Amino acid sequence: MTDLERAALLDQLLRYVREELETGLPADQITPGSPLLETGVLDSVRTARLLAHIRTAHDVRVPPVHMTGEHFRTLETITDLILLLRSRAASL
Amino acid sequence: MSLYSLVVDAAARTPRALAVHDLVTGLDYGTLDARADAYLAALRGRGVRPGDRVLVWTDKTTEAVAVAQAVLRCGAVHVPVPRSNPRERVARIAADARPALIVTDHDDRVPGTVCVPCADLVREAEPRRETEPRRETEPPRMTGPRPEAEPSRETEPRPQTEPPRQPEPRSKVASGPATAHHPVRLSDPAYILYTSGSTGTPKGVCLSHGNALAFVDWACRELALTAADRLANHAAFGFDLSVLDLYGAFRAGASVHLVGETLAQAAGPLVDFLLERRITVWYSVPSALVLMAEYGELLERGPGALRTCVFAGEPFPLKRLQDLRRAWPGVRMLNWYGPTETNVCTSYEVTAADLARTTPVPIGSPAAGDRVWLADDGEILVSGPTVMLGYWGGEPQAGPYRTGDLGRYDAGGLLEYRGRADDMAKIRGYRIEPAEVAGVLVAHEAVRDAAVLVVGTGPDARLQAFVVPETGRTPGLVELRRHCAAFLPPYMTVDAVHVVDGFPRTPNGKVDRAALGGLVARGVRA
Repeated sequence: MTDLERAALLDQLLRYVREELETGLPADQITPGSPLLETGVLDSVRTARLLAHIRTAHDVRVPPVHMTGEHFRTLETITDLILLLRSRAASL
Repeated sequence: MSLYSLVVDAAARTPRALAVHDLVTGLDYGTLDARADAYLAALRGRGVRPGDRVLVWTDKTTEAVAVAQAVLRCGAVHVPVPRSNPRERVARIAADARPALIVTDHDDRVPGTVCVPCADLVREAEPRRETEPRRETEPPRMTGPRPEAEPSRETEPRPQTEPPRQPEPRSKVASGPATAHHPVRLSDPAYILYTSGSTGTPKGVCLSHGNALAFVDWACRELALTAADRLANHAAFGFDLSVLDLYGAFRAGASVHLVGETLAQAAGPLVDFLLERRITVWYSVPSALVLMAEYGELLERGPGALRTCVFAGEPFPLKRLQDLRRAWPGVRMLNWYGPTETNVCTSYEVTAADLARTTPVPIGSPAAGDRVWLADDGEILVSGPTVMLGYWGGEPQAGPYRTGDLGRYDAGGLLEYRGRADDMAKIRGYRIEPAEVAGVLVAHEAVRDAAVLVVGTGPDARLQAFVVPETGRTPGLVELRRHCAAFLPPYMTVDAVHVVDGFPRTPNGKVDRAALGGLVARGVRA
């Protein structure tokens, strides 16, 4: 994994959340480090939609054990989780 | 008989059977029992006495379950508060419950209270193992986890290769003063569940050992729970749905599989969880199942080992329920009803006959030994063994409990739910008093006045806020959501903010909530 890959992935997620997730928030208020719970970005409906997006656009299924507050705190931590799950899948 | 004896008895019968499993760790009954005793000694060491409250502010872990058992064994009152509650709200709950101790599993602290991490309690319990002489006649009782049980990644109950230990007389096991279980009466308070309050502060619904056992006994019979069952625990510990998952499992010697607070919000992975853990009994709000069907292919991938699916907390959208029924003809489905104050007081079994209906399924007929009837104005009244002792700090509950829910009887004499007599609302099964949210909004410096209402139903329900700003200020959605997040649990945050000059009023001067709802429909936004 390169820094470039990570940046591209984060950018893509950010664009999805800003433009398609219907958070009700103006785009400039959502940043890579925004706390997703505190800003109300991730409720059960939007969490389900975001996970569906991660599955279709990035081919990553997040297993139940990784569905924790730590991994889903910000878009940055979600990016790291996707990369972790990808590298695991690749090493199998 | 007490609520805590369920684990004690199961540990005596089947010490090696899986009792509780969180996302990473599983504990068998013997280990859970020993762990509860270790926490009990530590709580006593911290000065917790019978009747004290112990607030447990943690994520959903096996440790939190063991702590809860310890609190009950102490004769104290368990106050579970979901981890996702912000410090300010926990402080308000603590101001009401006045706990001797707040047990945590994180670094957040509530000023003016004694906060202790689980890990510290474990450490405090351990020296006891060294210093306390163990009676020769006693089988070894470990205060730490069994090596084979932690970090156990198994999702399997261990096969019982050795015969169960002989049940020991309780008096012998609990002979040490540090771990003797305090004898409780059925009428003693067991736990307090804090729910949204119309006065702006959370209110504590106080339930006794007898209240809980009346429900659990009924539910175990109704669901025919056995030691082979594997129950999912979707609801947070602070919600009454958890009482079935935990104590129903313990009474049957079955296992309960804890769904963490973040996983509970994730429809797709929840379906994986249901299948991987081979869950046999599921209990949640309908919204969770609707989202699992919509985003997690629940109908196509399930039901796995599921034999019974129970839902409560809000009406199940009829078409979605019929889809589920059609997809899983072999799974028993039950629609339960009851506010936190009564736990479950009516039940209706959904069958193939309901595939033809065009109106929502009834909430059914009285359950758990309760009497349920309608007042002249249609309000649902409940009396019986599951009705709470009262609100914490308030008068004891006297006479039937008035639910504030409106009902009517269908042609067959079954009870149907019609809505609320007051402003209380549900969002995805979560009970919300709009006044509590409005009270928090008004505390924001840019807000002069606020009104809150829920628009939509089921998964589409949204919390709409109307705010009258202070002169020269226009509070934005992000600002107000962050403000809400500091004072309220996540499910109570506002979905949209509408800035208005003033509120439409009814002729008698009250905020005209119907007219406010009309503003949402017309698309007035911040």
